Amino acid sequence: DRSTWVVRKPSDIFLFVPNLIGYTRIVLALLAFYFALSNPWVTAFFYSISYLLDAADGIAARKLNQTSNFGGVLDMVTDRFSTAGFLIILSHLYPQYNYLFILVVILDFTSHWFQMYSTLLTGEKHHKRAKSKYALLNFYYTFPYALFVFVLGSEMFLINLYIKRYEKEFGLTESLIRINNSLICFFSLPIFLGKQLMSIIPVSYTHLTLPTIYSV
Amino acid sequence: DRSTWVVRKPSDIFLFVPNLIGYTRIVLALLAFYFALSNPWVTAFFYSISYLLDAADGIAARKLNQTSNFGGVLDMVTDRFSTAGFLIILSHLYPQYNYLFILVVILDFTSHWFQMYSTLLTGEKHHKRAKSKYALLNFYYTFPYALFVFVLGSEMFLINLYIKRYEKEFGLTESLIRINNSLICFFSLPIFLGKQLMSIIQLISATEKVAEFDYVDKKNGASKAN
Repeated sequence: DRSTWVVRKPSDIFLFVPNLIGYTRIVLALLAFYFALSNPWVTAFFYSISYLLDAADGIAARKLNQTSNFGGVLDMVTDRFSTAGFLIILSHLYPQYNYLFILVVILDFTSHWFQMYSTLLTGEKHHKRAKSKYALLNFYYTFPYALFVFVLGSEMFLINLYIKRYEKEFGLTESLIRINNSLICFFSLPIFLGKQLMSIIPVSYTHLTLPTIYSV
Repeated sequence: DRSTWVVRKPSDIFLFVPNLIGYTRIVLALLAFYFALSNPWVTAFFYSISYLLDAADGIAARKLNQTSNFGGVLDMVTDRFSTAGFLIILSHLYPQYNYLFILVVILDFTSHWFQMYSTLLTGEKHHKRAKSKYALLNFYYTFPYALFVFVLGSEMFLINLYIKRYEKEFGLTESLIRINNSLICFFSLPIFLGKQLMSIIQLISATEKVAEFDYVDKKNGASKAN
């Protein structure tokens, strides 16, 4: 045990460094949402730090040997509601697309919920390492940068959309506005749509896994 | 096996009657959301049927002996996104309270997510049957109608709020408007707030169970290493 922390009681888990980082991420995300429709700069500030910490907690957990189930669920849940909150904010900035944003929120947590449930039922270590009969899914999870690109691109799509609504407040020049629009058209929107496709596939996959575990 | 259905392959589970009811619920809820900001009567129609079916699928599962993990998760997920979708719609009808609706969406699925995770980790049959050190929580789950009243009251709160925004479209008379407002003040809003409190307690309880599991896991890991 390389960790300098000794776990003497269950609640010590709550004090693991990666989990402290997790709590900070939650607070920052909630603050970002609070200011999202009134103060874009403050929102961008809080959301960026929350996003950077997303990488930090995983690294901290491995380096300090402080991984835990609690930390894993905390991380997953924070990702889900960061996405959901951002999508709800965007549904207010683009009310004509409200229904589509609702569908994306639903697809996002439904697919992750089923994945997590089937992983726990079958005892697989982490849903990202589970084999799948869908080649596309295996590619998504094993090709070194595929997952990273999809997640980054989808996240960027939401950010691009947010920036687009606040071009004046962010003081964007004509060329920056054009760059933002191009990023949407040629990079982040296609990737975002691709990620939704990826989310639909795991739902089908887990459907097949779950029924074999029950008992009639 | 009283069921008249024989399960020959895994995908037969998808054809269980309660699961077919579940798919119908999903379609109806998605239709309700589609019309929610344009056609209140259509929305009310689809959402009501979806809600009635919510009771039907559990009854069907037990009577036909067609329970399944898949059905349980389908039911849970449909409840979660029916609530989330309705809250998002309401955030558009009451934009000044947008942030509060976002917080409720987050609390709802976070508490259920941790609950599901903790019951699966610890192998409890169903999170509603698990004992808790929080007396309030045990009361919530064991007192015969407590859970039912909280769920009904909270659901009614969302419906009251929706109706309030469409008083003209629903053709409410002055007295019906007053009844709706009174229901909110004296019944559904207090219960809704109480349910949020329950969700917070459930969340805390579930996180403690997960930490317990981690603690035992790490102790066993350490003793294995020694």
